[in-house]
Amino acid sequence: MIYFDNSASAIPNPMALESAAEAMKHFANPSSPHFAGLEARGMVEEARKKAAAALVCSQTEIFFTSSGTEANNMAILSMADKNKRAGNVIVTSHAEHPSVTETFKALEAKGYKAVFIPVEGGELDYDFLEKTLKSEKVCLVSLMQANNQNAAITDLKEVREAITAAGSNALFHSDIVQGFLKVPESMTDYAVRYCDTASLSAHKIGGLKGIGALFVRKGLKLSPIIFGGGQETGLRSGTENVVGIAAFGTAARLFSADKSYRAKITRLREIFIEKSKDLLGEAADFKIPKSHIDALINISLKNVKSEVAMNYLSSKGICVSSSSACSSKAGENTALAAFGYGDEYNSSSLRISFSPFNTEEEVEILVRELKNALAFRIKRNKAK
Amino acid sequence: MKYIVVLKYGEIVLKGLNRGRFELLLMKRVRSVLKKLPGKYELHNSQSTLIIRGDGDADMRNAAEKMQKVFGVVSVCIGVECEKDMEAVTRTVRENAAEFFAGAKTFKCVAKRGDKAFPFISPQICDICGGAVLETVGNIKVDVNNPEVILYIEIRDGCAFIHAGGAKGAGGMPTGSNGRGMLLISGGIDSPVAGYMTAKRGVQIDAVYFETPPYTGEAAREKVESLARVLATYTGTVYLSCISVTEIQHAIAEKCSERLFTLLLRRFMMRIAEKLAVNVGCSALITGESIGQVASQTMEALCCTDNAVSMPVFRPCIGLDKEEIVTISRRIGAFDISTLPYEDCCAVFTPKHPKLTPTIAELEEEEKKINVDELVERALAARTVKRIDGNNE
Repeated sequence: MIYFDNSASAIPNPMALESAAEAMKHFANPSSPHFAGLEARGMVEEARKKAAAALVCSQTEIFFTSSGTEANNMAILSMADKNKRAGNVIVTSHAEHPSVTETFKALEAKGYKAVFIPVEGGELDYDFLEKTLKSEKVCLVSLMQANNQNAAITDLKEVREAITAAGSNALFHSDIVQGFLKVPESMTDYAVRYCDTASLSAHKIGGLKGIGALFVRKGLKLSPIIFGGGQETGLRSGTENVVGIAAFGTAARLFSADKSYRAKITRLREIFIEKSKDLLGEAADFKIPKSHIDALINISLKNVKSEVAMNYLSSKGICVSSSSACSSKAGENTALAAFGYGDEYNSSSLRISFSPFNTEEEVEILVRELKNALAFRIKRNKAK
Repeated sequence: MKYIVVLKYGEIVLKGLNRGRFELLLMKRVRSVLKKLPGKYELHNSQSTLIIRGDGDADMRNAAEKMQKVFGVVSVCIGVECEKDMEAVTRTVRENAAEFFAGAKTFKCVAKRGDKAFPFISPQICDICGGAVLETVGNIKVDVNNPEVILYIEIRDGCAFIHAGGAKGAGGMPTGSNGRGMLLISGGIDSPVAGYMTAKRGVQIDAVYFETPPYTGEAAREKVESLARVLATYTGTVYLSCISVTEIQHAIAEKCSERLFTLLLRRFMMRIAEKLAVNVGCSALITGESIGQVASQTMEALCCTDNAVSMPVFRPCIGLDKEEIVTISRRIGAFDISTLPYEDCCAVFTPKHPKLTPTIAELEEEEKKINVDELVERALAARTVKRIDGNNE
């Protein structure tokens, strides 16, 4: 298998898998006060320390959840409710992950007014954001750090500055699931410095599925959306997923400490672009935002439907994501539609996402097979 | 007290000298379903019913549920049996009253005396059993007009059978009693329904799916396999042939009129299906077409499709509205699978303006531009076959 769908779920880091295997032996409940429980607790706290170090925040600001989706739900629902006094307007964009947009819909049903900041051309319209913050009583802004379709980076510092400049009391959440450890090094601590909350997911950085986390700025008190035994300082009840948490910690530490990970991803992307331009020429089109992460890239093979290219690559043992479906039946990719790239681009767009565990040779095979996929361009006999 | 399951069959009782054959096929199908369930079961045929008895591990409720999907069975009753004497019957009613009348406020008894030599007549049986119920169950009254529970006491040849009414069976004729048919199945709503309707009349179903890799993917094929599994739940194992028509689609798209694309492809599918059908001993093709539903299903288009083959083509959905087809699809458990968003092979090349009133002559003229026989042979040579067992097996 050649795997280039790392933004959906990344190739697991072998060291993280080892941590998971080790954690499986510590099966006791981390809340139990006996020695076995304390051992499990130790693993959870050790992982929290590693995740906090990777995000450049304090351990007490990391709360483990079951997923990035849960972290987004928890932050948005809780902060919109908490900050009602600031107003009933909630701000996001159509380019966000469904765990944000669907939670916004749920809030709209409760009477909140949602404002969507345009992302025409693939990047956030900061002017529109500023105007909105000045003209509306905004209680919550939720904007992702790196987009999962086109890799565009939203500058969290600029968003915070806009909130401050407008004199707004809005709280600021960022879905940093794709951005965590993938944004340029100079932005590594942006989520902690400029956001009130930020959501993370382990399986995008080489950890396991079923584990995420929410960063909550010190001093901000959130209400839980899951009630029970009071784990995670009462914010997220439910026995901790020690196995997933341990693997998360290891994956985060390795990704942040080993500089070769980012360098490898950047190199693979460069080779991909270079080879694609050589081999595919005019048949391929890229949409590359000015500010972007290197972990993924959106490419369109002209006249080859996304699904067709994806199926073809799949038959050759190569996994990529068809970011748009072949027909309206499958539903539209709202992020791509919001970027305004046009139907022709969207219907043939593919998302290629890289991992430090991919090889240059795999990239070359991928590009060769993309070229072969051009055989499935829609051709018609126009005679009649 | 052990539960037993009693299956009543409908139309079979009207059969004359060959009734035994239908009964044997029904028993064969029932046995094949029971064989896959945990525990051991015995099957007996008596007085136009099949009786299933299980050993200690057998889950009779589960068995009864599975029997509701056996064609040829009109009703499925689960109940208890006892010796054919009034004292045993009354005791059995008392012992099982809690189970039969859980929470009910009203009831009535209905006695059926298959054995006319039984010393009590039906009203007497009802009287005695009703009395036993009133004594055993608190807070319950007799209501002969609108009872919540009807307790049936059947005095049969070998034993008495007591139950609280039957669930509806699948009806129809036993699988295999009316030959074999080749179903052209897609991932849509109609063709699985057409397969179900034909199978209900006792036709053993084989199926063929036309795919277009890479225009269609693994997910689309898995969807069709899931639909075939729904059918197999009713009919027993279905052999699903998968045929790639990518080369054929390319040839048509390149050489022939775009407006006739779908019909030309349909004719290829019919030809391939017919050849497959002959190979596996099917005597008819089955499709999900319904008049006027889409451009390739106008009266003219259907005539053109028919003309490609000499085998009869059965279209059980022909006179049904979409809504009626959807109702059946939901009932048999296919709808949620059919509406999964994966393309099947027709959708990718579909022309914007297909011809609504095609003629056989113009289609034949277009087919001269491509080597039909060779394309059909090549597609058939590359076919794969998968055995699909039902959800209950």
